Amino acid sequence: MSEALGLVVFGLAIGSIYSLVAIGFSMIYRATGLVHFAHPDLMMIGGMIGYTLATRTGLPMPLLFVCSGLSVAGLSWLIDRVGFRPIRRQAALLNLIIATIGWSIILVNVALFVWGTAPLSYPQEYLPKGRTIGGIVIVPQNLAMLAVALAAMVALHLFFTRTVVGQALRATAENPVAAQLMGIRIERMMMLTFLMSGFLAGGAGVLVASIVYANFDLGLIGIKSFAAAVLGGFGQVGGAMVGGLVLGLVETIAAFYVSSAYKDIVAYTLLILILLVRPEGLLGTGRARRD
Amino acid sequence: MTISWRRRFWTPTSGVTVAALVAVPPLLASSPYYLFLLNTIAVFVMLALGLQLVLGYGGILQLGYAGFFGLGAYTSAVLTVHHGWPFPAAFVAAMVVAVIGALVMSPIVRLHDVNFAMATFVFGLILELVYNQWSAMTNGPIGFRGIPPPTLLGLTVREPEHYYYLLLAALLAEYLLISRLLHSPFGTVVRAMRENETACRTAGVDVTRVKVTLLLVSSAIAGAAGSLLAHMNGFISPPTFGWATSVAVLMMVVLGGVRSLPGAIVGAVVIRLVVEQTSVLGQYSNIVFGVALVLFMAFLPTGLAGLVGRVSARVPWAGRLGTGSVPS
Repeated sequence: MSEALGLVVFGLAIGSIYSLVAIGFSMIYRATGLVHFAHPDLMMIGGMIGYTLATRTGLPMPLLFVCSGLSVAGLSWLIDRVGFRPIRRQAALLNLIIATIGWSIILVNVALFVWGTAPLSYPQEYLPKGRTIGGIVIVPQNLAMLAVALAAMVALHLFFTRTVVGQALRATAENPVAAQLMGIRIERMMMLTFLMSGFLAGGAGVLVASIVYANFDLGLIGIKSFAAAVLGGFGQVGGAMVGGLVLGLVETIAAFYVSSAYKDIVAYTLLILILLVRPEGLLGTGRARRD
Repeated sequence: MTISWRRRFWTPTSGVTVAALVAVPPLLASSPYYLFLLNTIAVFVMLALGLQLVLGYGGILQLGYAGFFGLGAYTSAVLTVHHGWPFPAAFVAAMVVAVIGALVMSPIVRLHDVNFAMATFVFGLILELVYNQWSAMTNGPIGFRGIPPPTLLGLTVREPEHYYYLLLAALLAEYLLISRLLHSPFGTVVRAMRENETACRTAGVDVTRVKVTLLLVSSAIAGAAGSLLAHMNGFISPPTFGWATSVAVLMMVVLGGVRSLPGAIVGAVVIRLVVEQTSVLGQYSNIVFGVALVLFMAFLPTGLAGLVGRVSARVPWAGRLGTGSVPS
């Protein structure tokens, strides 16, 4: 029983990381139509920056999350400003998507150059520790991660439904031309999209790097957030959240009952099947497609 | 149709190119390293041409191409080493297995562009994971050793300079096949589909079938290239068949020029040379790759071939340099 509970909590914690990255991924897709292949690598950079901050300054975890999130938000904005915005109007979408692969290569190699090839482990005090309460092993960090992700989701939901900027953002995603005619400055909105999604990715990077390690190939974990975004219906923020949690759960349970070597294969196969059976995603309403 | 196609292919330039390619190995005979490099380039030219067909001409973002390369390599390796198959049979089997892999993947062509790209990407990841995890068959991350050199008609092709001719023959066959395919009525449909899929559908074209055909043909090519690589090196390991290689081949197509067969060849040569000669750029080589990819997509989405096209449009005599590429 306690084993199963621990498994579920761990699965949800991992899933919440996927969710944070997947939300940003979906937001970018909705706003620009881009499949941002460099987004998982932004998460990786977040984990790296978190490592440097943790070893140099010893900031507490929440501050680490925020600082790293802010740095990556800046980076995400910069990539859009330099790489995508100048050519957004004239370049074909296919070319823009290939350009995001180029950014992914750049980020990975910059990370290799700055932080080296060896996996870096966060200092002892940041690592997750299990506590036994009433015979059940609880890892507070897993619960904290889940809480952070849920808080982020609630905040995003309120932002998108209750604030003018949030509604403008949704309008831009829905129909950029109409939004522009209504006086929404859509380039501003896209900038905001890249900033927010970068922040979430950077924060998620700290979370994941503190439980695994910080390394240049951490983006491979972030790639699974693609799967999460697709699971939830591509381009739907709430869907991305749920998709991440489902993926984390499925994968953790598959690792436990099938084989840890094959858990990724299970997760990916599930992704392709869902794409085929429900291209609009688990929660999709059929509007996820951008025309 | 046939005559005009032959005339277009056998231009003086292409004749000279082929003759030059045949004459290369004796010139390099003193240097095994350059021969090895040349052979590796030939394998990647095969891959780049295959991806050019599906991505460049078909406009289908196949992001898991290296996975099919791996299907061919591992099939050929397993069949010759574990089951004692002769090379020709294993070579055909490699293509067949790659085609079967593509058939398994083919339902995803129904998906819309972004979902499709995602699905091919994930399919490639699955294949790479299988190569890593299915140790009983692939020997996992350690790699598969002891793949014998191919024996054809009683002759064992052991020397790199002889292997080169095997690769060259395969390459020419592939080039002719693709160029023939693109000049056939099917090729016209492919171009029309890339320009406007909806109009094509309206005109009664079975777009799904065209896409599946492109995927199958390009996968067969990747399978053949994989088999040739396996028997050339005698050793294969999973990273060769993963995302990094898919991206590398993608870059060859993009850099050389989308929708240009000579472009894909030039792209493959340039990228492989840069990869092999990393001493030129040192550890920055991959950053340079990434930057090049971004810059090309921004400023020169038609690649080097597009640049040549632009130049030749201004220089009257340059137009005659055409080597049988298909006008887009």
